[in-house]
Amino acid sequence: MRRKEISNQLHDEDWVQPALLGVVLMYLDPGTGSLIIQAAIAAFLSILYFTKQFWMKTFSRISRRILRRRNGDDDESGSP
Amino acid sequence: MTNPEAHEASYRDPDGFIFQKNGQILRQINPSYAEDYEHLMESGLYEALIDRGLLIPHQESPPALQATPSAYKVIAPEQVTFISYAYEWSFSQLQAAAATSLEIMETALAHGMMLKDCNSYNMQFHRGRPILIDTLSFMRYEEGMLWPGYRQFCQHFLMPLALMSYCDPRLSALLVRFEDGIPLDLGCGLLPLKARLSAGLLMHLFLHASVDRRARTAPREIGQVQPTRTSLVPLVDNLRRTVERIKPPRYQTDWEGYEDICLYSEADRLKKKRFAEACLEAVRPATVWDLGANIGTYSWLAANRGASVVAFDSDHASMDKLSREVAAKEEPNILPLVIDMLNPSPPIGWENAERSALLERGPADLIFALALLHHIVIGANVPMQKVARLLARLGTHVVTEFVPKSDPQVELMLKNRKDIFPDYHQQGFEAAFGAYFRIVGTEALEDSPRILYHMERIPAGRS
Repeated sequence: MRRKEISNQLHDEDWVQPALLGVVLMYLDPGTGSLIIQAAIAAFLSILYFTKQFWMKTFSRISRRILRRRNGDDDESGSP
Repeated sequence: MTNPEAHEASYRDPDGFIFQKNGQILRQINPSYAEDYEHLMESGLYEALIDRGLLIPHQESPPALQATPSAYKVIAPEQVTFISYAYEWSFSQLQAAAATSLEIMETALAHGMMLKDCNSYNMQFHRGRPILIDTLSFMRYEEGMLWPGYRQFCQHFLMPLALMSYCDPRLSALLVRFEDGIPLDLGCGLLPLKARLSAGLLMHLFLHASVDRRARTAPREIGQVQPTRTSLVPLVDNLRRTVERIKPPRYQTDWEGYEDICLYSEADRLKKKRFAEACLEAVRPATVWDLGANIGTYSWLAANRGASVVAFDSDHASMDKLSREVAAKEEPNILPLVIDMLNPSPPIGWENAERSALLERGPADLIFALALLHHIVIGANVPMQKVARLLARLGTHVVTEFVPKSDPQVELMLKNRKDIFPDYHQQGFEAAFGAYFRIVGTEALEDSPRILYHMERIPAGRS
């Protein structure tokens, strides 16, 4: 009974993306709990990952701009 | 649909199965896998995996070899010489297999695919390195999908590694009992509190176990989870770092370096080595099993002559050490395995037919059983005749050593117990082995009472 409830819930409440239920249904049961925790961990790590990437990009853009400006200054001072 | 020709362990995945024909392992691909197979071959993923030695290479076979008329294709993978299982691996081997699985997953993600399962049986040691042998493990990946192999990875790799590292390496034996990996609740109950200090283990094992438990008992709460669009790359990257950070177990056994403290004089050590070399030269074996390999001295001798060697020892410390040496030197011919010859791996799985028993995976051309007999006969009360019978089953040639009661090691073993071994002498040894073997050569050591034997199995062995 409980198992039926879970499966109804999975289909009714669309708690995971349709792709997951439609395409990813594999020959093995990935485990409901495992999918939930995986979704949570993957989301958490993705946020960390993309935030880090964003800051790395921003930082390298700023530092590149500073370097370019400094090099430009050097060139100007070095020119006759 | 079950197929009478399919291997006993190859029934779970409807996309195909392995079977044996003309002594060769072949893999049939069913039409349901056609699109995934084509993506694997055409996306550049197959080449990328082969270049990095991550996937077993294969060739497409003529359709005539198909096992059922409905086949999409039949492929002939490169043959793996010896199949071993995670419960026979030392810590570093399991860690290497886990890291390789994740590397495969990362490579697949970069090519729009991922692993649809992730169990340790799909990884085998081939030419000294872990390699994926299941070509049908890949499926197309679209952004936002979750990884169906996540739980398997945690149960087959991460949990045993954590238990071996934090508790005891011998806990890998749990994998014999739990064929689909160590259950998370069981493993988390055994792990010490300090394992929670690893963020990776905290997430992938402890939180995983508790959510898993709640998902089974309180389904109402599950419906409220709303995952966002995520990428699997950070997850796989985090798993990889978690695996790499698990420290090797602290070994406290008598066996590591046993050979170093052993009572051979330099002359005897050399004599024993020359005797083994002469046997290898005479037999020129293609396959060698080194029983009680310890630090692997004789395994190296055989491997250097091109033989494919499986080195067995019941001690995790020495096999882990040997595994690391094999990996560091990229030695393709030695496979160290943790096996207790007193209780070798049983057959497990459905009908006890999925993972074969160790003794079914022989015979070898030559068996080294050096400095082993007294541990089995006197240490474990196994009659000499039974030892001879087992060795005759395992190999054609046996290089062994009789260690008499006058040897200090045996004296030590008999010091605190009753001597119930009246037949344990050279004549008794030769009589027991004579039922199965003929003596090809023998040599006595000089500074020790031990005697070396090279024996060949009598073709129609009396039993």
